[in-house]
Amino acid sequence: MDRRTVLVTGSNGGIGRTITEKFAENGYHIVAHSRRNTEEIDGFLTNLQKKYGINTYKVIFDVTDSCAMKSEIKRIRKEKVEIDTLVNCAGVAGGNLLAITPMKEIRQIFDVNLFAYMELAQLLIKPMIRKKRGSIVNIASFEGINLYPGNSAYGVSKAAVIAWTKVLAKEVGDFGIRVNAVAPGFVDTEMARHTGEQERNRMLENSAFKRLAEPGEIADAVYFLASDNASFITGEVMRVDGGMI
Amino acid sequence: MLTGKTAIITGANRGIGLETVEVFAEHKAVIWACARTQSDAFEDKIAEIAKRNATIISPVYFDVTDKAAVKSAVNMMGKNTKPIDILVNNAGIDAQALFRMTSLETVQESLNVNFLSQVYLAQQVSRYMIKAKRGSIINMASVSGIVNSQGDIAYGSSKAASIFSTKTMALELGSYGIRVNSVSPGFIATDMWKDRKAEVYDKVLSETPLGRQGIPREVANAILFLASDMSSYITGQNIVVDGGRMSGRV
Repeated sequence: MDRRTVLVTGSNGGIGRTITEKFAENGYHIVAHSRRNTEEIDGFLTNLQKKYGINTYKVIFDVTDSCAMKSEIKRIRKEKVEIDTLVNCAGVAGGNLLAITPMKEIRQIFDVNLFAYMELAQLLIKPMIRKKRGSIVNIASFEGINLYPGNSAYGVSKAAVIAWTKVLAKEVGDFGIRVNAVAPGFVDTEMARHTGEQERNRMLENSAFKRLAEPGEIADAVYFLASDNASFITGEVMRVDGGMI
Repeated sequence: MLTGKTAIITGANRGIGLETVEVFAEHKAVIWACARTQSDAFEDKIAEIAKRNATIISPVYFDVTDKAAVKSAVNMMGKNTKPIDILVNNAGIDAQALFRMTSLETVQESLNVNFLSQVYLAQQVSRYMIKAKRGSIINMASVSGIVNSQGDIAYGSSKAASIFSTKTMALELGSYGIRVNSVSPGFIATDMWKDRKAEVYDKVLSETPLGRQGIPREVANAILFLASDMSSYITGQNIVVDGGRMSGRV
């Protein structure tokens, strides 16, 4: 079987971990990224190897550290690992009303949520272009589409991810590389708790399902877009949000 | 992915509808394949697909704009297979003509076949889905319902109505566990594009990031995704399958 290899950033986090497992389940070799090296990651990857018979690799870097990112990707390439699928998932929440949010914090959030996505895609695209094959899925957020107060940083960075997804899709479509985004709603993970419970419930009331997503429900959409079953879909943003208005 | 599920597919006799029958059968769905007129060629084809995939596909004939016929057919299907898990509202007609030369009758026909029939079928089928507290409805729309081109007053308007009503249905049926989504194909190699002029072909291709026409299977795969539990948190969405052509705007 022509096995593909996927790099998932933030592979240790709430959604990233489930996405990583979903790809492994479907026979992909895994390059798991995390900011810090932990035993937990090693255990997780060993488990995936045993359960699904795929190869796993680990890359460790802070996504805002260009040098570390370049160096880790270079190291992986030397091991003859060819990444044909990228899931940009590592992200941070944060920010408040503009009047009380330091610009430094806003810039930091953009660095992680937008510029790191771009930088990693830029590093991985040349080999994809040479092979005339590749698939990129960027994790955005429904807060990049429904804009609420307090979202100068997070929401706007995710809105930018969506816009950039469409630009990149147009740039690399000729080479058979597809670029899409998933905009999750509220997912049952650590990050969802950043929004206060009262406010979260109020927003959920305005949705069709009125419940949080399981991480697996996001992973399924990411996998679909990355796979050949979405072979004519590019530049798309798939809202996976339980019917938020 | 659809083992144990029953699906109703309209416009199942050709194009995207027929390809959806094929893809659903490969995933072991039991299928009611609906078309307007009886045809031996159609029945032979679905029998062959059913045999090859070891599943059951039954032909059902009715005009989607004939309310009495639709009601009677849905009751027959609803009584014979419990529950009805999936409805693919795929039957549709094209109508390309400039606004000043389009008769109101043409606009009405597009609205009837492409939009109103979807609403009525969804109303009838959802009664059975509500009983089961689950279901997935997929309304076939089109990129013509999202971005405007010349000649689309009838077709485009009906597809825009389809996309809008999909979201309303999703909001109202969500509490019953029923998901409603739409798929908007772009430039796909089916009969519908046969009569368009060569310059249109070339123009559309040049605007498509993936630089080619899509094939019906690529649309059917998106329908499959929405029909399956893989999309369990997705409702009120419109998935565009057009090689990136209409993706330009945020």
